[in-house]
Amino acid sequence: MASLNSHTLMIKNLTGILEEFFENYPVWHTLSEFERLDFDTEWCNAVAQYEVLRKESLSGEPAQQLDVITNKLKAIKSKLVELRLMVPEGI
Amino acid sequence: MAGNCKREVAGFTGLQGKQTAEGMITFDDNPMTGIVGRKYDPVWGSMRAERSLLSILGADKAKMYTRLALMGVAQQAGDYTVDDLIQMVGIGLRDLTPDEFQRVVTHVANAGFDPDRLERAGSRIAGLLWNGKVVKGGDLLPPGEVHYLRHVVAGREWPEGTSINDYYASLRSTIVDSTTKIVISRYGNFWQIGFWGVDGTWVEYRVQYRYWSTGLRPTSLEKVINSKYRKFVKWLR
Repeated sequence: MASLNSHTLMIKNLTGILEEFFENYPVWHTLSEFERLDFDTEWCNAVAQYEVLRKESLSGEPAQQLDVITNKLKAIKSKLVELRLMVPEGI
Repeated sequence: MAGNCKREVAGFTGLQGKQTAEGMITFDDNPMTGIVGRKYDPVWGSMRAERSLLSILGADKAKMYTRLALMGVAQQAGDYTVDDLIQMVGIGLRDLTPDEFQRVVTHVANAGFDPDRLERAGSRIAGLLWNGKVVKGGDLLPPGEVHYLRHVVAGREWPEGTSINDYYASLRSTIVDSTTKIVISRYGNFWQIGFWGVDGTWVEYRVQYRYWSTGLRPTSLEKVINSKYRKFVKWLR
């Protein structure tokens, strides 16, 4: 089981990378391939973190934050498919 | 199309060349990548025909792949760069000799991140104090600094107090460690070689840029490797 500290770090990372996704999406095709692949690597890692968190029994604020992240992921699922980015399990 | 039919369409020599360009060429009539083109015959009308390597790949890539195909015949003859060697292994032309393997490892360990490129900082490291300034998401920083701030300072994937030079040294030691697993893959349009250390460190080197492309301790390497942009994954060790 991941520690509470690592939960916080993962949630922070997921929140940040989702913000970066929303910044990158409108300009995705103007980004260099270097930038797109760099983001893809980070995204794949964030997906792994999301799936770890989903398997944990979170409660309180971390659980609420994870719900917010889940809803955002569901909302962008078609965009993830369009950009060939990994879709987390359960989304 | 069945395997034998593919060989009939391509011909023996042509198939040899085309197989080396795997990933760039498909056995279909895709107008960009397919080997199946069309020609007009006065008697038979429009017919299927094999497209040349040149017409599919363009002059530069066709020349490169022809050269690589020839390398498959003269396996020990070349004076290849490390980047040639990585691509040759990735394409499947041959394996590395022990000397070549050591050359690749030494070269990649010394490559580092590109000091001349700039990369957008992004939201995850916005607000951190770096070089006396608060980082903004839109700031452009060298990739080494961006990866350090993301994975060491914000992500705390390395122990507290790890400096940027400690981080680089840690990536180098992963690359040269004889227990590290090594994988070559094609990521987007780039050939890359990745090093997966026993402590979970993952460093990748991008051939066309001749620098490291990333250095992190991922939650799951499997996810990173399973990216939809990555193909032709070949583990060397």
